[in-house]
Amino acid sequence: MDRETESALVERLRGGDGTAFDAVYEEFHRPLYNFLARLSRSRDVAENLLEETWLRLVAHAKRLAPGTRLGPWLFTVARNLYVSYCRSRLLDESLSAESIGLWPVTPPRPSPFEDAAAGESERRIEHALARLPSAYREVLLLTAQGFSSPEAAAVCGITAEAIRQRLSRARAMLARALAGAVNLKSDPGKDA
Amino acid sequence: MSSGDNGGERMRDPVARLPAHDPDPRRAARTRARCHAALDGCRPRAADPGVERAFGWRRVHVAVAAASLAYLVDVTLRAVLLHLR
Repeated sequence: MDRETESALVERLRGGDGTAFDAVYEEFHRPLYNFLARLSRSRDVAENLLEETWLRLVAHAKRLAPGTRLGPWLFTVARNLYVSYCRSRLLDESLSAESIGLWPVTPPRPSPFEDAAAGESERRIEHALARLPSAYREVLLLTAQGFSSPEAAAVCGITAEAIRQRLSRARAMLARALAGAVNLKSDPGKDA
Repeated sequence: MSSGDNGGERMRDPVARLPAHDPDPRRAARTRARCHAALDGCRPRAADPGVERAFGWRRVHVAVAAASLAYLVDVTLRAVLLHLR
């Protein structure tokens, strides 16, 4: 979506235009869902957070600043909702003090997309991605959505330099995880 | 989202090559309907919002005035009848 179209959509959204909302929804619904589902590793959580993200947009539509970038705005809201969800879940589950932080420490389990992956290579990538710490996973997911480093940094609330470092580490971790999976696959008797 | 300044890099990114999945269509339709309802709620009213908002209150005022008048008439009639007895 080019800047002019985006600005026009923001202006119409500020006036409560339903067709402008539909246009934004068509553009971002799927990417937001994939981002949230891969981040949370749960379809249900992703659907709930996605709905809340859209409701936040509608609630704030009149207060959107002219020239607001809708992509970064929506992904920031979605990401913040996920962080809030993680925090509330940590409180609910009364986990031990050392595990309380920004991201929950959960045992790795197959993600829904991992289960649904059609090809072997796709499954390996989903598997490796799902096992990365969330802070690294989100950077990879944002970059895959086409966000530049400054945009991804704004979404995550950190500096562009920090996001570049985190992205570099995340890619290295993913590459190691993928290489490990390939080695195991090519030499099944190695760990026997 | 940026307009493809890192497009080549994305092609090499295995995560970017992962296929996108669709959310539940029924849930998506429900979400969209809820958003439209919320959007309608905050949309500025038609031509003359002042008149439209005042209309509801005017009806309340008329109803209260009518009830008060009926009460006053009732009390006055009772007083007159009591006096005549």
